[in-house]
Amino acid sequence: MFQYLIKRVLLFVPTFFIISVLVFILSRVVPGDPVAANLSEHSAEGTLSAEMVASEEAYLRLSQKMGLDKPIFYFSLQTAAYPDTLYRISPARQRDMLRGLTRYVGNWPKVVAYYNELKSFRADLTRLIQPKRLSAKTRTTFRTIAANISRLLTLPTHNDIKPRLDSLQAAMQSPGLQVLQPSFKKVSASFEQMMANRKPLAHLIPKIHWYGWDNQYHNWMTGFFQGDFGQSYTTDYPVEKLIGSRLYWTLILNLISLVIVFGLSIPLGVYSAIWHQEGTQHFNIISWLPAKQVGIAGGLRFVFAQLLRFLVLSFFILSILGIFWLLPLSIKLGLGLLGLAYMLQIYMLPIFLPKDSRARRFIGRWAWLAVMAVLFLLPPLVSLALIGGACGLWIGQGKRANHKGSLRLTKRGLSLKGSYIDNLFTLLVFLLYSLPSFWIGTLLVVYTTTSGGIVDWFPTQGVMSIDIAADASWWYRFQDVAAHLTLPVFCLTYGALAVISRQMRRGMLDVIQSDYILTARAKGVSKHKVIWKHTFRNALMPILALSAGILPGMLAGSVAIENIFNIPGMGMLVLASINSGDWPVVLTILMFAAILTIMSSLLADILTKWLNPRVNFK
Amino acid sequence: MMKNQQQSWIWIGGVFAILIGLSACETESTPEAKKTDDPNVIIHELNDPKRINPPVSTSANATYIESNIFEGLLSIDLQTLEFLPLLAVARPTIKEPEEGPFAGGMSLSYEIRPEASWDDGSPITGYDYLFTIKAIKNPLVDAQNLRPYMDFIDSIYVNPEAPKQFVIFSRKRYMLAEAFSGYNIMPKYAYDKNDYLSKVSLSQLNDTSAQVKAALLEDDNLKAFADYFNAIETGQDPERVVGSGPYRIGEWQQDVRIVLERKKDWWGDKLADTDLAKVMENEADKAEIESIKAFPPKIIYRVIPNKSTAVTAMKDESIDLMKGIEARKFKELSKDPYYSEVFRLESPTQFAYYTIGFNFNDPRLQDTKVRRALAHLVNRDRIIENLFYGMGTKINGPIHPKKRYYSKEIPDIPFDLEKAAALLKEAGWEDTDGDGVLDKEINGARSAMNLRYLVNAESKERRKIGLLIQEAAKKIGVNIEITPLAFEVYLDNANNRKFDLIALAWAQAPTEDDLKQIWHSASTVQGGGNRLDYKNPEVDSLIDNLRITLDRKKRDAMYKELQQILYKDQANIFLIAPDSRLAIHSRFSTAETTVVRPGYYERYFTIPAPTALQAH
Repeated sequence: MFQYLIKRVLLFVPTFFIISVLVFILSRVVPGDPVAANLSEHSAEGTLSAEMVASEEAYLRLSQKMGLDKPIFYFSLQTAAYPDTLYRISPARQRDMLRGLTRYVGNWPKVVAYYNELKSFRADLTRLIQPKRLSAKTRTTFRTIAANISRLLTLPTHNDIKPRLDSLQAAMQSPGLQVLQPSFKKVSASFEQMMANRKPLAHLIPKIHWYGWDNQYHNWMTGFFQGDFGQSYTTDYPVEKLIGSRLYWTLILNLISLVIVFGLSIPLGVYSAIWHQEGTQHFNIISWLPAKQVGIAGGLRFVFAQLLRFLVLSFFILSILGIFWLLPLSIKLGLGLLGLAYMLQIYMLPIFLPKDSRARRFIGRWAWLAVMAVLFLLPPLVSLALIGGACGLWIGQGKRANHKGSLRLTKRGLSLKGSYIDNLFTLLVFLLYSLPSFWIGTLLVVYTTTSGGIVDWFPTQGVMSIDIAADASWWYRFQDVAAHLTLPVFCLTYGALAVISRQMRRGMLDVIQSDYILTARAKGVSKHKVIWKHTFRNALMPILALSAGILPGMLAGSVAIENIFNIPGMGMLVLASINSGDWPVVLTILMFAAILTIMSSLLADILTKWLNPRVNFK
Repeated sequence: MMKNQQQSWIWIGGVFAILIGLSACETESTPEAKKTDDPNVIIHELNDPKRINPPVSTSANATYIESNIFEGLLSIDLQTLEFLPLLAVARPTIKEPEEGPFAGGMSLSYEIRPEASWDDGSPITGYDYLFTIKAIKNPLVDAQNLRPYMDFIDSIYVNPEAPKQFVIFSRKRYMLAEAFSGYNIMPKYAYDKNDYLSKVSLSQLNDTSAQVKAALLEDDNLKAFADYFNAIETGQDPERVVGSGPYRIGEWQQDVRIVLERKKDWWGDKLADTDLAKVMENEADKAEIESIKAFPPKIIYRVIPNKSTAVTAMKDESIDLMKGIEARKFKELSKDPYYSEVFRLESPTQFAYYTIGFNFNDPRLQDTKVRRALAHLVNRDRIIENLFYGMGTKINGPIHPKKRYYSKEIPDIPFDLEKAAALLKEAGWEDTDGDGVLDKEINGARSAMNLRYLVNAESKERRKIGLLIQEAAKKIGVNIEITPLAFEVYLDNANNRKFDLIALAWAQAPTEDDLKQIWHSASTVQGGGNRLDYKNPEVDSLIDNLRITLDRKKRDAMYKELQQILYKDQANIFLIAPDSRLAIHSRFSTAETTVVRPGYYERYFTIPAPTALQAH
């Protein structure tokens, strides 16, 4: 085990490295120049060449500040035609131009000679000419020259250069501009030279150049491990501060969701499997009726049971169809409560008590009252009850009766079963699972949060009311936040809830039918012990494998949910950062997501081993 | 078994019937706003303004929020678009000296209101103005956006006897000098505690020689000042953001909300009391005094990046004002009796327009007839009707119809396929190879009328405009290929002129339009706004002259001539000026909308007193 762990951890190093290199390189090849985006390009007057030089200096200063003036990686792998020092050319546009020309020409010294001549021509433009002294017409020509030169410095295709040089040649004849001719001749000469000395064969020779440790990736990675994640491009904030302020709500949201998902889905799955296996008798709300099967009492019970089925069914069907929400509040509450009470007291409570004990009977009788009391205090939970109820009744599918679709009178009472209910709720669960949470989220926001929607039960968005006083009591704040988080938590959980409970049930059924369980039962091991020690532990394996992906998956899911409900968390931050090309933030969040994924899969492995010592990782 | 199943379905059906019946019994409640007397205004913002520091902030919404915290010498009348004195006693006295160091230039004399004071009680003086201009001109301060606009300020003289009086000198005349000189004033005592900028003179900062410029970049005082001034905290910490406006930052939760609180001791309140008598007498003064007001005790900017979430929040009345609502949504809301009752939906026109630009480097598009023909392919009525739901105005030039000098003589270019085809034929374009696309021999090579329409992928409207034109153009043998690209890539393509047609949108200022940035040949260089490479010496000289003409009447004539030339040249396909789409909570029934962006002034929002009280 220990050996295995060491191996796993060691494996993480290359995994992590590859992920980090991938995201880093991707962030660098995305189109758009972060330095230029941060430098304002739109000046009131446009930029004449002198100002262009100044802005190039500003560009260089900024790219140094952002650490983008260094080679990207430890080494470069390219053809011999390219120089190792291309990264030193600033700004990025001119770098692209040089790269493009070199791709065609293959002769770096000649390309760079042409580039230098262009730059010195541009310098001469401001040194030799005073635009104010020119006639209006010549001034326009002069501007055309300046514009053409600035374009030439960023034009990567050789085909476009020639016509521009020709038009410059013509422009150079204007009176007052002849002084420029000598340096222009040098430009054209160097261009001719470059085109005449093409060395495309240089592209056939590969070349690796080692840049050393002072590169962008290395600096970023070392910073990352020292807890310095760099500075946000858009706000100048240190990334850790930015993320720290956003982590809070994402964590809260996901922790609550995790607790709900596992806290609900595991018992649901376990018990549904057990009932299925036992073939099933259990308490229900009408079990307090006299346990006689015939006569008036039996008839009454039958009627009551039918009535109950009628109500429960109508509640779920209506809620699926959305008509439920159109009903007056009293009917809504009543139906909701009945549904929840029914499922809770039938399926949950008696399980923990020994059969035929007085306590079990008592609870079977009065639990619904307690449940109702709780529900009256927390009306918003009704919508959660919908799902809970659905899952609860779906459990019923396990209890296959002899007479399909009939109401069966058993020794101990009536139970509700039948394949159509079974199918209905299986369908419901899969429906839920397949409904995308962003869509459900949007629907919920539109229909349940405003007085113009169907109901106005929840706050529309955010995590807290805007007018909440700074000195409000803790309890008041808690209520406010809880109300705000109900819908987002619901959206984050329902999908995982469906999957995990279903998986749990399947796992339990697989194990419970195996011979060793039968043996254990036969040799007199208590039922409780069989379920929890022998069955549950073994059935947990697939869940563990699943749960390794749940946490990162929820983080991804919260990107959509946070945006819909306007929760200032990591999801919103990452989306905004991607949109604005704020790579330090994006990279850091991606790396954390990667670490999280790696860690949770490791954790799942450890738990698997701990739960099932037979697992051999070799 | 069957019977049982049937029974249950009957029950279910019965339940439906009963419950639907029940729900129908519920009475329709009449629409009524939840909020009726809350004087605070909650405004929706799509993103956090990041920082509140006028010279340095870059986001558009920061500018709007800043206008409640900082004040300039002048403000603008929201209806007449004339300048009103704000911190200044009156609009500046402008002189055109003929001799002395500023011969041929101009001077603007200002006096700041005697009442005007900072939060600490000290008076606002010309020294604060000088400080602000120096801060902007400090090359290390991140004010690249603003700096070129302040180029015209060559010198500032503050009267040492009466520091509230000062004169701005410029060697050049510039029509927008008054507008830009009215910029926000920032308190020296709060932003330059160590007096760094006093050690550098304005003339040093204005020096254009390379040595001085290089020396300035290394200057320790400038560096120390810029470090403080550029710091994000200086734009976020409520203690550090200090202005003379009626509001201060009360609370700022990043990406959640900014709460502005009304100052109790704002200087403007004193003004309203003392000048009340004056108000009664003069209409112009009345407008001036009216403009110096601020009612809501709190203005809250709530950040909601997702527009549909914001619309729902609006429905929930958790925001009072939303701008930039999608046209379709806007129409939907206005039809909904509930929301049209609780919210006032307004669509004032705004100073912005959509155009399609030509690449003037392309020999095919250098022919005016071809450009005119393409203009005839655009069905602007349909664009306004279908894409903007009627909320837009056709434009025929770069001047907004609301402007004083808008030329009404310029004819509409109607949607006319026959005319377009005829014009193309006249220009020598014919389908000789029968492939359905027109072609012509240009410079010895046959080129076809395949045009690449560059558009930024984020703009749905501009993409759809492309589709409309594409459809029309196909009928007369012009093939338009729509290339939607992410904004940064789009911009890069535009800067490198990799397009034939390009969808553009321009925002205009409420002040006089300086057309140099877009139409002057000087702006064709890298970083300039003339991405079409449109060059016309006539236009250049008109623009140059306009900029130095201070006489408004002369300018108006020149503006009209300019519009005429641009029309004749078909320099652009001018499309429409879209209306802004606002929803304002109906309790602010007196809130006016304006053509000036963002379309409203939240600090004038007030709840009218109940009529019963007024009667007493």
